[in-house]
Amino acid sequence: MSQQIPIIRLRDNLLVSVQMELTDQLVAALKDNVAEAIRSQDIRGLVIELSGVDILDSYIARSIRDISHMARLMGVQTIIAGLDPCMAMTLIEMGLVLTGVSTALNLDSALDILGRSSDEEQKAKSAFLGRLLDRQP
Amino acid sequence: MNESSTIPTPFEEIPRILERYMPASIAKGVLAQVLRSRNLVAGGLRKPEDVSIAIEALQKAIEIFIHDGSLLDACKRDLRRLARGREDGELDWDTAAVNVEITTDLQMVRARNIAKTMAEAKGFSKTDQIKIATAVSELARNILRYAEKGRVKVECGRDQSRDFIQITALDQGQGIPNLDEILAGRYKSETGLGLGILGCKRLMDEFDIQSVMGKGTMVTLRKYL
Repeated sequence: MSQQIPIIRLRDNLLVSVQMELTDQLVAALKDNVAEAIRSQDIRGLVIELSGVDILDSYIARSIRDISHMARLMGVQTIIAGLDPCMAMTLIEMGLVLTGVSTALNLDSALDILGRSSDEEQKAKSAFLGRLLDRQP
Repeated sequence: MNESSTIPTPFEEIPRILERYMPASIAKGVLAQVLRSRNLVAGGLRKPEDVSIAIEALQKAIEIFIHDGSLLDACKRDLRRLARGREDGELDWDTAAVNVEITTDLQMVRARNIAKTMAEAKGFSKTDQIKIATAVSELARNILRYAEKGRVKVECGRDQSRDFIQITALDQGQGIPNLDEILAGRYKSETGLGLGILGCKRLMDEFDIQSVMGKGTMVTLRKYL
């Protein structure tokens, strides 16, 4: 009945594309839903896509940062994408510095970054396994 | 102070609305076509009935040029509003003022959207519109969070030939303790009260705050064009 921000699964990534006005309730529900999705599925990446957002006040911005940190604590690489340049400028001028948050220009770049790091992870794993097997007597 | 020459005529306003949804050249052409088809003269669009006739015809004509359903609806809505405005009276952007009671989240959202729209109508740049709307959001949120109930007023004005938009946030909450520390940037609250107020100050050109413990708070912000 009430609106919720949809979370879409894309391979082993979660995609949250915000296309509506962000209220406190929506953001709180999003945090719970993201935590639940990560907990119950094999997720390695999260993209929060903000190109549909008009206005970001300091509280909502911090809440999104918190979701990003929470995901990272659960082992999920988070990228915030599509932040409007005017909004980015506004946040900086307000004095809000979002530390510990990876960003990308758009969804494409975000998925690129996530894809690359999952490739690198694969390579690192195979290299590690290779070395292990080499050491076998 | 309120000269009728500063209020745009329908002949000027209609293309402006259309240009949000289609290229300017097409907008002009569509309007010219519609006027011809209804035997109306551009200069004669002063009578409310003629404006209504023109806008009714436009509602049909734009269907050919705007393919996106939601954009088409939005354009029709804007035109309808214009038609209604002409019948009810002019909205004078020079001295328009809107009051929004802040008791729920949705009203906070409404207040900031109104602020953004007024800023846009006044002619502020996109970045300034966002700053103004963000400042409104911060103040409204503070009212909700700390005073539970209050009011935000967004008004346009003019001060010695400088246009401005002014935001006034008023509540009867408990007041803000540590105000001096907050304004100096030294106070870091658990809930983030300080950041919002200081943020507003940084975003706007003029900032004033009056807070009396136990009585309430009034914040006044101004941004010049």
